Amino acid sequence: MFAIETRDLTRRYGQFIAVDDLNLQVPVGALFGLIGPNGAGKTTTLRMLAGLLEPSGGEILLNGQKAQIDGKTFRQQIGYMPDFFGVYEDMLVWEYLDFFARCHHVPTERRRQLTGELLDLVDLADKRAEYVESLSRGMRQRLCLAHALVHDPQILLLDEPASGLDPRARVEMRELLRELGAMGKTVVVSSHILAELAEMCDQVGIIQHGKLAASGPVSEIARRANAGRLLQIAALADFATVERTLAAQPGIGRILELPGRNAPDEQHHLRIEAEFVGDDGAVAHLLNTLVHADIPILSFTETAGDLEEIFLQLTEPQ
Amino acid sequence: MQLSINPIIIKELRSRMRGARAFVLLTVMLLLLAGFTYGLYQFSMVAAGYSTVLSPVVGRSLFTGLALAELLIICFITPALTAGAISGEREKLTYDMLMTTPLSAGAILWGKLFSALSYVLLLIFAAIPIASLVFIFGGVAPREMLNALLVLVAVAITLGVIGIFMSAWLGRTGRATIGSYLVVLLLMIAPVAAYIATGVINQAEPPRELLILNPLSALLSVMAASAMSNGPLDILIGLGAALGGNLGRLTGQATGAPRPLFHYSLPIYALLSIVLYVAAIQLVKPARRRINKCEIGGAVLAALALAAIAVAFFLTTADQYSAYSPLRPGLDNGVAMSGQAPPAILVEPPIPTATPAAPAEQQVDTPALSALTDVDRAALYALAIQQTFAASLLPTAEVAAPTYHILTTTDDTIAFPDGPISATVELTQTVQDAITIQLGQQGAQEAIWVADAQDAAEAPPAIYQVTLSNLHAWADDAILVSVKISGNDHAWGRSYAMHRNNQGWRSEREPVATWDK
Repeated sequence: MFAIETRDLTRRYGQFIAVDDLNLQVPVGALFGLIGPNGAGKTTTLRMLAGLLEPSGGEILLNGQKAQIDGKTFRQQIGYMPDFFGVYEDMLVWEYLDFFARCHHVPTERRRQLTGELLDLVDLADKRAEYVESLSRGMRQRLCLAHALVHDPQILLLDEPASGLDPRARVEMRELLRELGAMGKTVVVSSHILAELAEMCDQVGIIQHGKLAASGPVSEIARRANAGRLLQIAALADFATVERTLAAQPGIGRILELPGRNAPDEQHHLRIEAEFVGDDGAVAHLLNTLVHADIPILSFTETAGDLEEIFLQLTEPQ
Repeated sequence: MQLSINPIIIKELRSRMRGARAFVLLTVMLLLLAGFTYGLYQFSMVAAGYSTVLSPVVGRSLFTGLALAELLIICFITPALTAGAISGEREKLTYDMLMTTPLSAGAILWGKLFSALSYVLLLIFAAIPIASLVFIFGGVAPREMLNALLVLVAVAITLGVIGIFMSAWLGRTGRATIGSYLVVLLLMIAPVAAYIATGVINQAEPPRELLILNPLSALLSVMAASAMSNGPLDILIGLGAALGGNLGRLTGQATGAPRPLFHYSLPIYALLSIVLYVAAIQLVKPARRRINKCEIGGAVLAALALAAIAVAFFLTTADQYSAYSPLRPGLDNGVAMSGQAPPAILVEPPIPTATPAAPAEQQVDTPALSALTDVDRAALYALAIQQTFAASLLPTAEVAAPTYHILTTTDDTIAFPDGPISATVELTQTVQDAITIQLGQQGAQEAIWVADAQDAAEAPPAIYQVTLSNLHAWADDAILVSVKISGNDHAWGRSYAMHRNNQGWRSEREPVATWDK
């Protein structure tokens, strides 16, 4: 069973089709990344999932049940953080959370406790009695995330939660999302930067022109896109020797020497990138062969592939 | 689910009442109103410098001026407070967040409306102490003041709903604000323009129904028309009568509906509010405009309840407005002898006409007569005194708060020649006290009970000597009361036939007999 499943979800704005027969499947408890260039239909999809926008066609299933827009269960199950959001002026941080807790009918005795817990979670406990307006962008982003959690939803939809944040705030936001994942919530995060999501999401879906271009774990998508692995090898040897050894192996494709980065007085480091098709056993076998060929290996790594490359490849204009 | 306060109200009030702004605005407004009232008072005093001025006239002017000022404040403030209700959320990008909560569109609108109106109502109610200064001068009945308050509140609610509807419809606060003010302007100007244009084109009194939608007219119609002419102040009063649709009542050529205009304005405002509110709910919903049976049902129910209340009100008050009449003592605006003090002295008496022939049938004791309690007796006497005094006032208009010297013994010989005669009796202390109280409520300076008639020539001016008759049964279960008031070298006598109604007593339009000296 999936936490979120869409069947032929479609949304049109007049002639323009923003979301086109989208079939999305998000397993329960997954941290799902929704990736696509600007205008691909990410926000439209999330807004439909949040019950803010009525689909022109298709249906949405939440935990296997057909979701009714305007239905109360819809709103109780889902926490939504919009990509652009505002804050109310003249309101304190705790009042802000208190307001949304009231909207969700959280009982009075629980509310006070809840605001404390949520502020702790998003690390704003010391800002409790400050005006929302005075918060920095990263803090507002976290406060907005906290607001989406007041009713303890099982599904969280976060539209570009890291956009416009500086690197530190970005890392903090990522930590926060991991924490939520650990709490067993299903989290859907959208972004137009694949690398941002790749390291924390269990699964990603790449969306392009309102259609799902690819879906699955990041490594799988990368492999499908590349149809092979990319190996990086550093050795204390000359290029010809290594190339000869590698080329003799099955499954090896293009071999490239990468420019050395070391200072001139140091010993020459060879850095090679090689395409390789084969399973994990084959990779291990390849390393074994290199070692037995008496090549002094400094490092042998498989890169996840150039994510931007994959992204561009999958989302190139049709 | 527990019953809790609408979170929108809490949020809105928190932000609105935070800081000094709200209180500074309130203070400034009250100071302006107080200054305005003082100015109006000074103006009336200066205006009175050349002639005597009736205190009730001053009171009435103050009341009219204050009510108009408050209405203008409402018209200015309400759209500003409500036009941003929905569009503001959209502009601040908080709309989506609000929509993902289980709050219904109706609850959001209701919360917005309530919180905005509560501030407007705070302004209105905070001004009540200033308005109550009017009672020092008299001339305004508490009922009139309550009605004025009712109209102000209704106008505030209607304008609030208009603002919220504009906000939901036009999407941008700027546009919504302009739209709301345009509608207010339209409500203010269009009916008057149509009224005047019709009048000019037809060269006749225009139908006052044209003014029903105008908040100004609704408010002014609360105040019973008065023909009291006294100096420059009646610019305000005259304006009030004209815009209030009471012009016809002054000139005596009115046609059409007998009720004050606001009786029609209020139900129409309520209906307008319900329709716009439901429309706004449809606009606020995030998804496609889907008609919700529950909401439509609620609206229909509200409209039906409204209709029921209106019909019930119109039926229960039907006897007061059964026929249109120019102003008469005791009949105008439903004024009758009841717990409330009528605008006692401000009614215009009919020009005394030939004394109608009095029916000669009299019974010494009838059920109607024997059923009278002391309270009834006092009420009958007080009403008769008041009406006789009001009738006498016009020729010598001088005193607003008269001092009465009332004879403790009755005398039937003061009545018209063929009138019923019984033996002179002493009024009981209870009846005397009750009359004193009633007269006091009607604005009399003092009522002093005297045993013997004074020589009229010796009595100081502004003291009126009153002689009462016995109560007699009259035709149609009526009670006949005769009163003679003398003072200022004049004497007026009136005999009134009084009928019991659900509010107490009221007299027939025409006195049974009049005689003036």
